[in-house]
Amino acid sequence: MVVGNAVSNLKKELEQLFPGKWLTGGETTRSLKTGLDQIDGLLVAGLHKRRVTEWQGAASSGKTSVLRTVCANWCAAGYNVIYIDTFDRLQAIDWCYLNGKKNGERFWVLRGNSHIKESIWACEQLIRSRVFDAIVFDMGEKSISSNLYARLQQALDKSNTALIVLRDQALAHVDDGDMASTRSGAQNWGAHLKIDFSYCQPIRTELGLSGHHDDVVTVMPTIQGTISKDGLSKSLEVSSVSYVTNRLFTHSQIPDRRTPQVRARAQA
Amino acid sequence: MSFTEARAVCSQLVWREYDDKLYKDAKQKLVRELISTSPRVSTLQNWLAGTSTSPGAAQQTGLFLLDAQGFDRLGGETKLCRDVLRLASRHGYGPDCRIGIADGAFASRVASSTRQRHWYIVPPGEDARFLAPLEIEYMPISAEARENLKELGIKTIAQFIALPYSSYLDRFDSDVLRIYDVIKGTSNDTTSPSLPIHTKQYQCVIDIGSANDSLHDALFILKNMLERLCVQLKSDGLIAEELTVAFFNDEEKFDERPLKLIKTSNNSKFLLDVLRLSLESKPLKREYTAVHLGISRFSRELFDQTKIKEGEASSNQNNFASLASLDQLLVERHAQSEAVLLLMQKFMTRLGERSLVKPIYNDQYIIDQAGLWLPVTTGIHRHYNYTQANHYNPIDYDFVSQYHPLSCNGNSRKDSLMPGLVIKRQTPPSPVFVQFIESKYSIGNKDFTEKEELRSNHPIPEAVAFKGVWYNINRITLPENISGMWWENPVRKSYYTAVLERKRELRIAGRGYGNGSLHNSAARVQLITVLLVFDHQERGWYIEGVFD
Repeated sequence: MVVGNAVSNLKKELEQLFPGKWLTGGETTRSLKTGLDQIDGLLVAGLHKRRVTEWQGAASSGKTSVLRTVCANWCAAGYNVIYIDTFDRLQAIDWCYLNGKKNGERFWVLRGNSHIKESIWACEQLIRSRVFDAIVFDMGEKSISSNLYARLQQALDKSNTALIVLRDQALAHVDDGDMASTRSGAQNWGAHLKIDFSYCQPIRTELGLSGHHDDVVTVMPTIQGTISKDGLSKSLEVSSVSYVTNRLFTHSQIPDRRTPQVRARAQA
Repeated sequence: MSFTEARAVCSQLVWREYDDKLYKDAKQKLVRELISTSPRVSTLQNWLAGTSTSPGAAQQTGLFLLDAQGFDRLGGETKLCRDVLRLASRHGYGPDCRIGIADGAFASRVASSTRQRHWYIVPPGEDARFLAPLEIEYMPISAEARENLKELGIKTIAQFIALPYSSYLDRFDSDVLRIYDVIKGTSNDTTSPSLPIHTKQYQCVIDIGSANDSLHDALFILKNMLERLCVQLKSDGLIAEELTVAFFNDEEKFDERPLKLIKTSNNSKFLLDVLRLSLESKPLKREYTAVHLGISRFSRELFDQTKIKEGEASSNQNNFASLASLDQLLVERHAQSEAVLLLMQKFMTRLGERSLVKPIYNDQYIIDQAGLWLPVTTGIHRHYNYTQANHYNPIDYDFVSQYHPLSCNGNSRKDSLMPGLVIKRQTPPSPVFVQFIESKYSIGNKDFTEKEELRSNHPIPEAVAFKGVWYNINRITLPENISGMWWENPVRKSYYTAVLERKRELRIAGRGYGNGSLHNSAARVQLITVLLVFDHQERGWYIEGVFD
């Protein structure tokens, strides 16, 4: 009995000294590797369970595309993942591959929440259920108060789930440059790890069958990011694979009925 | 007929999953009404109802047996037919209602299948003569047996019963032998109408006598009612599938909510949790004076063994030294499924049936419809299916995966992303202003200015005004032109993927910092990737979403 109390006291002290880095009895690992070397090799060895990871960037910055790859890797590894789509913005076709025959139905989405309060309630319930290994909470442009972080962290303490809060920085904030990140960093003090994303040059393109430089069928900007943890930050760049859509039944183009002279002048 | 073909015939058609309970309820309602015409009424649910009696018809439902004996002093059988027809008309079944009266159930069923008359009465003792000239299509036998009989030259019932019983013995299945006995009149199967069976209903009503709006009090009342109902359910070996709770304010029912259960149960604690979740998510708007609680759907309790996949079972048998490990695996799986079911029940009660979904491929080429969100509750329930608003066409995944870019790139680098970018849609799409490239050229002595939109087959915009800000288009794809859905809501759109940039000038302090003068020193580019759409139906440009 005395030994048991001593061990539990020691655990508490270690938990306070090294938050999130102390393994309890049944745990075999304390982090989820993302499967992307650019993230796993920098500062962290994956995303920590029982902690909040902030995944942010402008509304169009490539953060969800990176996250989709991470989710696909997790599903393939046998983890259960759920995405809380607070504002019903996802398109099903982008995510069908995650539930392929190989992976099983490990990827779920929570949709149709009319209010952010409902999403927060749902997020807490999902964490407490201990059914999912990773939860993605898309908050859009909503800011997270320290109270909310405390609530989520309290729920996470009793589970073995990794929580990723997906945040869009408003365009106005992005315009303000570094000031915005400083401000958001001050607000979101509770995040264990923060990853910022943005699109940048160069923009890779795939040309169509004609090979003409105007015949572009797909564009893919480069995705850059910054990982910040414990006051340190490192840059990352994620490469992407081009993807040419191949849909059927496209209607025929409108025939060009201009005379050759007019067409030649127009092209000149 | 496929659903799409049916929609082409009737645009108002709504897809609804088959629900056996609705049919049963409708039948029970009609049986209760038919009692007024004959004392013995029952639905025909035995082997006679299983197969079509009319050529080319599908399986028939809504067959009732009525006792037509002893009507001589009550207006005769003709009056009975008129009464039944009148009653059926009152419920909207008048044009399709047909009545046949005969000595036996089979003969009366065949008599009722005539299309020319609303009723047909076979004289007493004339069943065999009535049936003799009819084709064998009327006999409730399998299609294979029917074909075999035809190949033997037996086309009418008279030819069928002309052969001795021994000719069919050991050559045909039991259905053929049974119908032979029925037509010959030697059968022991006496299908006849019976007295209506009393169906038990599980419901409680409490009138509290005064107005109340407390959630705590409501839960206390519901707890007592549930405990009473659950005791009855358990004693009858039943489990609840759906609850219906209604709140009254002085005879006025102001709130009624059916609560579907993902996990069928007769545990009062679980059911109370479901009620509590519902009342918390949608609080009552008025004070209540009475509460009605009923078990609107229930089924017999089954004790299924936990299912294990074959692969798991075999691997466990091979690898595990003892059954202890297997038991542990089962316990873990069971606990996991229990947790998932409880979680789904919570979300379904509070957020709605379609809140928890999974993405699936749909065999459509319009971008919006190529994938669908399917509720995860689909297929879980054993006893009835939930109504699906969307009808989807599943694809052959094995075939598609051969050509899917993700499968083809199996040897791609480990650290590369999945192909394509994720779109986040804007609902409704944002209408945008678009600027085109202007070109100037001359023909002869006259100068012409022509917009790119008119000059090219594919109008390529140069700049877009999005959320009040003008963006230059850095790169843009050729449009992907998609049209379709002409039968209900025509779609004709050109989809562009565009990288927008907004050149911003970073102002930094120079040498004249003290004077407050600033000068431009650098330019930083902010990139946004959007789905730009030209809607040919609306003749307008929209941004339907951003690629994130």
